[in-house]
This record gives sequence, structure tokens and C-alpha cells, in this order.
Amino acid sequence: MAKLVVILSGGSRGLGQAIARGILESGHTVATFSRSTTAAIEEFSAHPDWSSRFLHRVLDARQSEALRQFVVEVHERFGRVDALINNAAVVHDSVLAMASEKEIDQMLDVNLKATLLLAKECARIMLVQQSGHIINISSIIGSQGFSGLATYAATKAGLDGMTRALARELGNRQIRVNAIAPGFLDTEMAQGLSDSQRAQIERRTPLGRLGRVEDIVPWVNFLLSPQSDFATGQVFTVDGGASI
Amino acid sequence: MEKAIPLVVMPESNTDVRITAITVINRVLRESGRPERKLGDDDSLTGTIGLDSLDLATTVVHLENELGVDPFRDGATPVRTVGELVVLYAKSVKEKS
Repeated sequence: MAKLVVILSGGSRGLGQAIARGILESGHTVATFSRSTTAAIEEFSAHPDWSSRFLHRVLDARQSEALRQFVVEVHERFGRVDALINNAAVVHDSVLAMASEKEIDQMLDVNLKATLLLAKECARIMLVQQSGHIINISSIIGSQGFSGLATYAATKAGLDGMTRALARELGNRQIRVNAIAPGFLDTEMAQGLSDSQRAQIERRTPLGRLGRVEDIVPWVNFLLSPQSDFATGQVFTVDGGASI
Repeated sequence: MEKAIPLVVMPESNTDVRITAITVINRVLRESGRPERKLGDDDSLTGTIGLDSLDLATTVVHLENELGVDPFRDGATPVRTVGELVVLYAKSVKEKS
């Protein structure tokens, strides 16, 4: 398989760093950004085999011009952008009646607006290249809902809608757009779950556990491969059966 | 009789932009399997030339790569013809320099 240049938002921790690792192990180039540097970023930047095909920048997804400049930098440095993985997201847990406008704005800006702006900038490059793939990391929360996560659910349902519309828009230029909707994953993002919430999720999941990042990474690798070439506009749910 | 002073950008400064725009549009046609053609200022981008929305987007990206400007990012109103495209880009290029 030809080696790809992949832009990944939020590749510093949790699912993002696992996705970055999986893509680097497959021999591709990863360009990612996050609000801070982490041990994973330092490891990737110093790795003897990966450092020449790994780029990390500290930036805030809420800074639209910085996002655009990041995509320009990646394109200038590596010559192409073959895939965009919209992974960066934030979550605040509160019943909507008590949610602050600041929290709502942050989730809308990072989870939805930034994903649209990144998709826009990458689609422009992909149109000229006449190839490309956009993979949105969604969530079953977008289709199932969860008390305390109304705004988060709105952004993930929005991401699913964007996936379908953009797949229709770009399909006849051979640019694919898909989403992966994990269930609850055992990552930092789920640390806010109480023991009873975790137990409830596990009870309601046919496969009886929270997901792990290792459950999701192979799906990203499959979607990046030519074996998935005839799939577009889909939201692939990987949740242990929790949403059935 | 005195020569009328044009109210728009002097034609000479549009020449390079016109050449670039025509080259880019023909590149978009060629890369999508359509024949290149002679293009005049009155040719309609979506009409006689037959560009669709994604062709226009591709054209705009190529023009940004060539000329360093994208007037549509700043909210320029859509243009209909090759001539209008040239005038818009020539103005942006002049403002940038």
C-alpha cells in the first residue's frame, strides 16, 4: 500500500495517541496537533523510525486561522494530504439546565466547527489531488443519547450528518468520508464516569465491558487501506453491541 | 478626442491574471477528462464552460496556489464569467502587493 500523509487532530492522548501510533507503525506519516505536549508526543518525536514522518504542533482547535496554517504547513512539508482524521473532541458532563454557555461553546467549537474547518481545508487539497479520505471519530452518544451529554451528543450527531453530506458532495471526485462511532472507551475521557455509571454501561453492553482504544485503531487502519475503497458516507459503530 | 479612462483595473495588469486563470480552468477541464478550449471574457463558468461547484472550488484552490490570494475566503460575491473572475483576482492580487 502506498504510504499516506495523514492529518490527525488531537493525537496526544487517549484514542488519538493510539491512532497515531497505529498509523506510524503502518509506515505512514502523521501530522497532529493538540493543546499540549505529552509523553506520547515526545516518544513519537524521538522515535528512530518515526521521527522523520511525525509532526506535532501545539495549537488550540478553536483558533481557526491556526488550523488553516497547520494544514498549509503539513501540505508544504510533506507534499500531500491523503487523509484527515477528525479525532479531537472535548466533553463536559452536566444536565443542560445547568450547562454554562462557555462549555456549550467549547464543545461546539472543538467537536463540530473545527472538524468542519479542517475538513474544508483538507477537501481543498484533496480536490486538487483528486484523492483523499476523511474519517470522523464520532460516538454512539450522537445516536443514542446519554443524560448529561446533550451538547456532546448534538456535536456527534452533527458530525454524522456532516459525514453523510460530505460523502455525497465529494464522492464523484473519489474522495471518501466515513465515521467511526465508538461506544464508551476506557480512556481519560471516561474518567468522569461514576462507578455506578460504569457498571450500568457494562450491564447494557452485550459484550459486557467498556471499549479499549485497541478495539478502535484497527478500524481506522482498515478505513485508510484500499480494502475499504467502496465504503463512503457510513458511520461504523464499534461499541460491543451497546447501541443495538 | 481624449481617450476614455477605464473605471476598472487597467487591462495591462489583468493580462497575467487572465493567462493564469485560463490555464487553470483548462487544467481543471483536462484533468476531469474534458477537452481544453479557447476561453473569452464573456464565457460563463458554469454555463458555456460547464464547470460544476467542485470544479469551481478546484479552480479557486489552484488560483490560490498560483496567485497567493483567495478573494472568496473574505466573502467575495460569486462571479459568473471568466472576465469577472479575472477582474476579481486582479484586484485581490493588487491589494495584496
